[in-house]
Amino acid sequence: MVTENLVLLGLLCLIVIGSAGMGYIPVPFSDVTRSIFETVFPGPDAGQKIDAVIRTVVMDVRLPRILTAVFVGAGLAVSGAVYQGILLNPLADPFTLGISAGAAFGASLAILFFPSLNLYILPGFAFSGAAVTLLIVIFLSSGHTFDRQGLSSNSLILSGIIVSSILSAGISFLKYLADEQVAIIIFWLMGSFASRTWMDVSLVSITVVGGFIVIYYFSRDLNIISLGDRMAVTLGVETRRVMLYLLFTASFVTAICVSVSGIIGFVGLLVPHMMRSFAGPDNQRLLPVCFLAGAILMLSADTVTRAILPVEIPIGVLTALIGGPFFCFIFRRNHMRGRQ
Amino acid sequence: MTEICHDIRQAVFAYDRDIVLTGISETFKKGRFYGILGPNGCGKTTLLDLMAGFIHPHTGEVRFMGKCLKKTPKKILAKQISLVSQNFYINFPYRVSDVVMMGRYPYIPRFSSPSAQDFQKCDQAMEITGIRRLKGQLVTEISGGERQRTVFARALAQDTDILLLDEATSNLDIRHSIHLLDTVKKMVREKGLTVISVFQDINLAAIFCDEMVFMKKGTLVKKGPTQDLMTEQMLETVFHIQSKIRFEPLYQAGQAVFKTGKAASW
Repeated sequence: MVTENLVLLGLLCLIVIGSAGMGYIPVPFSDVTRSIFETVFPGPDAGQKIDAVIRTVVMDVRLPRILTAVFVGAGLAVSGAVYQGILLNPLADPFTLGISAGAAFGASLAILFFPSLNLYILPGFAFSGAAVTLLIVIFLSSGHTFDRQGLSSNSLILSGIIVSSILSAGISFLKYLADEQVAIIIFWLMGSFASRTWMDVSLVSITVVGGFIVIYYFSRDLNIISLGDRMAVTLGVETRRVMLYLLFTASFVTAICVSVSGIIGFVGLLVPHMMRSFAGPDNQRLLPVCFLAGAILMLSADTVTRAILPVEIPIGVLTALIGGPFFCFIFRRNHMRGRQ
Repeated sequence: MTEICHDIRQAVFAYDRDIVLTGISETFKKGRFYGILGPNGCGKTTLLDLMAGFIHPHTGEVRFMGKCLKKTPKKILAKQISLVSQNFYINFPYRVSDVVMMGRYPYIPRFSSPSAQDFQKCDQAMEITGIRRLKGQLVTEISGGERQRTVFARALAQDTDILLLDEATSNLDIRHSIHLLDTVKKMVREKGLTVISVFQDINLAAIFCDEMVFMKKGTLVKKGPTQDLMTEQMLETVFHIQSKIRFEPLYQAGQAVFKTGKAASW
């Protein structure tokens, strides 16, 4: 269990360094590591320092983008695993609950009404959108009052679909109103890691790592919850409370990821699904693996679109184009095997 | 053996506006085997859910071992009451042994591994339910009956004083049903286990239950010793079906045959 995580972590570090060397200006691996080293330990001038241009390319252009991709991938994959466990459905993800649509709606509002302040208020609006959506979805699915045993997974999914279709219409309306800003909204909705800053990195890394710690603390309870309400309650899990903590944390993580990078689909769905077939369904083992594998997958996809393809494709489009058909394949294969 | 475990007082429960239980009051004693019987939709499962602490009455209260069930912490309750529910779907590919081990959840502290005792309890439970050979299989890939026995084993591994069964043997073949109920009955006699079980099969209930509880339309019709309640009249009142009950010396219990189209003229 520890070994597999160390192997994945090692792989992730290699890809980070490799990716930082790739692009319009190729940088050898040794120079990448030297740039990082010299920035972290700016000791006295020991003879030859690395070329300032190379250092800027690595430290200020590429690494922020790379690390943002790493943490967004990790965050989306872990949130996906949480939603799947709570909704008792291996095919659920942040979209099923309408969380991503809520965050996107909030962010579109910010772009439309405060075009000059995007950088600062976009995450706030995205999170508010996600949080309000989550509250509405939970309210819709828990009946008339909050003190029922409530929150059955079917009604959660249904409420999520209802709310997100309303929100999609809302986003279309905002686009219609947007006039000159419409291009910004559309591009942002497609998802991209282009020109991220260290501020984005710190926002998303603190959120994702903090969220992961909370989620991992409840990983064993999530195992029991994923077998159904009756079993969880009679085994002594404070089901409602734990579900709310987990839903809130996962939604917060999703909202921050969406606000930093736009809508990037299929990572939250595919990564936990794929990892489950090799790490098993036990969340104590699955969650760390999802964290690392989500990071690796997202960074690899972003590196492909940034440095390998002749034209940069928005990452959200790329993950959907690759992830969609692949998902169909897995879905079909599992059906043939008779398990879902 | 006369200690009261569940004491239900004027419990009313409704889903939205459909009242499922209309003011039920009854007590259950430790160390006995109870069978709950009644037509579909009469509130049997809801009554069991109330006693498991899964739901709480809207008015009235359920007391367990002298305390309000709602106020008893779930962790403590989980070491005393286990429930085998009726419909059970598992969407995630856990191993059979993993699911049984989840029965030990209340005993294993967070971030700890199961102890030797936990493994021993699980092995015992799998032995009793006859699923030991399925141990390593995925619960998503076994048959419905095997899954039901897995869930039964999980409840036994939970090692509680009270075992609530909601048609827990409905998907099992007759050999496994009899064997499981025999084992459970033996635990009632020897270890003072309390079993409260919903039955569809009246004859099976008559063989194993010390006492029967008949329900109809959200009310409790009657509760009492099996030999007193297993009557043609009672089945007529509760199920609206005509029957003949003969005493079966093998079981020391009455067994019913029912009037069907074929036997229209008895």
